[in-house]
Amino acid sequence: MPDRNRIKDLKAKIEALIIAIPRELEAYEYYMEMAERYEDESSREMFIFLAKQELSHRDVLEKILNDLERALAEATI
Amino acid sequence: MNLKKLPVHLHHIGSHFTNGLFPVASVLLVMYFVTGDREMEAAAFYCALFGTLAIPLTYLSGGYDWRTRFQGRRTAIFTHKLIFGVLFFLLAAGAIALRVADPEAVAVGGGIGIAYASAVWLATGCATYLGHLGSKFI
Repeated sequence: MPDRNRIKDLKAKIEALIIAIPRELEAYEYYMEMAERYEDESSREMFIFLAKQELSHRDVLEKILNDLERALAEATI
Repeated sequence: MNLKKLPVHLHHIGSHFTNGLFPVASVLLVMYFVTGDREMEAAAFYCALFGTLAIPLTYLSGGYDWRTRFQGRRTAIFTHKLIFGVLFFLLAAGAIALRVADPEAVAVGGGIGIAYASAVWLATGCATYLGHLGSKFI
């Protein structure tokens, strides 16, 4: 018998991540645009560092999303 | 402007048109019923008309945004946006159709007038809820 509360909880968490992941990618694109805008090396390095941080956040969120989707599939069996 | 992001911007522009104009149309209709001033009723109609005209742009750009940024994933928030988006369009288009078919009947009141005003007010409720859902993406 599927646990409805657990399924509801998992779906809410999955939805939050689905909304959050594109934001990380947009932040990455924004920092890369900023990096291109500056000519001095220290500014460029800072924005590229920040851009990489956003990409790593996205990777973490995608991993959590995959885990949650797997958990949801198991919970609905 | 980054052209890749144009559909996202179009969705924001279109939804702000509808979300801005329908509440104004609702308030103007209330003012018409209170004061009897026909100019208020005409202004309400034009607000609702331009708000309704913005709906197709909002739908198409929103659908594109959903398919690209969110990979067309189905979750409760997107289902609600779809259902209330369709309901909003039906109410808004219905109100415009009633007003265009018989402007005098709407202005005088009676059944058609009540149906028209109800459709505008309910459409405003839908627009407000859709705006609330949209705010979760910002």
